[in-house]
Amino acid sequence: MMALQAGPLTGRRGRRIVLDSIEIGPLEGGTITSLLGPNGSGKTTLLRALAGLFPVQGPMWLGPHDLGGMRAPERANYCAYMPQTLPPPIHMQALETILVSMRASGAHPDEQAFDTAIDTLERLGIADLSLRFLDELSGGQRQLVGLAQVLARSPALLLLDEPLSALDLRHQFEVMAVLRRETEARGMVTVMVMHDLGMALRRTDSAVMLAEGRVIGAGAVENVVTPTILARAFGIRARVERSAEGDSLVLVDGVSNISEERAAMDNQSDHYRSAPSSS
Amino acid sequence: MIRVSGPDGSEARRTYAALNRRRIRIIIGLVAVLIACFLVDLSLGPAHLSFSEIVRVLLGNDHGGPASVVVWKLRLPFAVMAILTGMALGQAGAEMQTILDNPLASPFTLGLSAASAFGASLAIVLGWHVPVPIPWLGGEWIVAVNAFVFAIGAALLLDLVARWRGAATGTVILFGIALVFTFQALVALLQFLATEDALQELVFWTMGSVTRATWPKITVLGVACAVVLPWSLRSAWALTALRMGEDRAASLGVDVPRVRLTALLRVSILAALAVAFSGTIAFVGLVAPHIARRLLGEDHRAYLPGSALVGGLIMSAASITAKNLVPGEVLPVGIVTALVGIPFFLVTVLRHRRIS
Repeated sequence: MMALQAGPLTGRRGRRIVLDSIEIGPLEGGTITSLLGPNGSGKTTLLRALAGLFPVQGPMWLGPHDLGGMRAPERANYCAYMPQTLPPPIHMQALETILVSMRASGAHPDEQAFDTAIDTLERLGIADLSLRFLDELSGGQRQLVGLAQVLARSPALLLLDEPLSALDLRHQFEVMAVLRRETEARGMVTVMVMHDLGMALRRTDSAVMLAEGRVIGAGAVENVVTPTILARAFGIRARVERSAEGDSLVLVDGVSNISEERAAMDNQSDHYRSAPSSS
Repeated sequence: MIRVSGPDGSEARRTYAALNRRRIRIIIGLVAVLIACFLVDLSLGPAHLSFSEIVRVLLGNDHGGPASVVVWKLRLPFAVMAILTGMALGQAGAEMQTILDNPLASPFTLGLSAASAFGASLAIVLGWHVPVPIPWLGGEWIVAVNAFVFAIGAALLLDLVARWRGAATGTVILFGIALVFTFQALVALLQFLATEDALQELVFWTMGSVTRATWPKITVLGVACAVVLPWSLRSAWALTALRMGEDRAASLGVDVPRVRLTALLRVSILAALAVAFSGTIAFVGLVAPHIARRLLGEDHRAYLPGSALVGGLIMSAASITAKNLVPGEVLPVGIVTALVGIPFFLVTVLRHRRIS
């Protein structure tokens, strides 16, 4: 199993620094990491940087492979990235789009490709959609097809940008279960941008919290999704409690005002420093 | 996961194979209709020749006779040129719509045609042209070369804009529209300044016509089509992936800037040659890809040749109409392409709606 180790990564958009010396990892193979943070904190940019779609300075290693030194087509052999936008509603069968995604990089036709595509659709529970056209599917169904497109490539590093955003509750949990199974079975490093903190707590192993292009918390997910870090990242007053069944829940009591937040930050600054190393 | 009974592997495989077979059948059908159109185009015209006479001439049994002159100097070159121009524009439009991710992209709407018309007007009105190092090329070729150079220039400008800090495709479209208006204004200015004779010549460019087809021109365009189509098919998978979004394609290992640049190169060769020989012809480059997409789907292995065939078909039908709409008069084909193409277009669009 290969681990992902990246950073410090620095990325600019124009003159503005959007990723500020971000260090990630090592994220072990077979684990799921959630990438958390408020809007505009650099989650998507970081994910695209890991996928090689946004230029950054800094090293990126996946096991013995130097991802940073690879051109996009070569990198695609290791990484699969699912953008936040849903696959567009074009007149193409779901199965076709998966075959295209497996062959786009110029790979030679493979007798197995077909079986892999069908198999992936089955594992996601959408085998019945395989011959439907994308322009007749709902947003959520297209998101599932998009997920099948990346999973069918059997990547070592799976990068998902809000893969649950268009799914109903049941599908959210089902997709997380599939991702868990696939991640463990294949020893993948799975990194996903998420907004649902409760889901992150319950279904991912580790987390990276970003705010304004910096990492303000990283490590085991329960050490990252904490009241203090949430206050600092989102400006909210939140608690982490346990449900009757023992699952962790995030309860948001309200919005913290800025001065309170600053005070909390000053008082707790030692805690922030210790949080990233607590894994 | 809930298991919904879906098609199993072998059934899906069969259905996918059937889909591909259907595409091949449609392409064969298009070729057949194109050949039929070509034959009709050959047999109709102001000089009333019977079909058997035409066959006799084509088989080489009538040297130097008036029928032979009509067929070899007029009918055949016009008919072939119409098809080649349509194929070039259809394929150019198809690739443009994919790489720019915009259904309104075509050589005409993004200024390649306007630029080449301007290049031609410069040569016709002011006698200004790029230096042509081959002395035996006649005046008509100098105009064509000028048109070609300007079309290539416009294509390169579009590419520059596309790559300039990764401009969004919307920016490229807007820039193309700016090019159209700029060059149209410049052409209008030259028309205003032009002498009577030059104006006559300019009409050919602004309306588009296949009546200046000669065998050397046909050879050049034919070779271009024969080279560019197979070349584009090599990137068929990458181009299909591009239809799923640029980021998605890039993450699938498609070298998007390179695919885009090579596609734009192909587009400029085809569009520039087509326009240089036949003038500005609107509509075909825009609509042929849409019809092909409706008929064949997004898989570029079928969509690219399909767009070329539909383009050829529209132009061939337009050429027939141009010769026969007004008795004894051959209209510029550019005038009738839209009139002929719109029914095609409406039929496919409406038929598709009903099915889905």
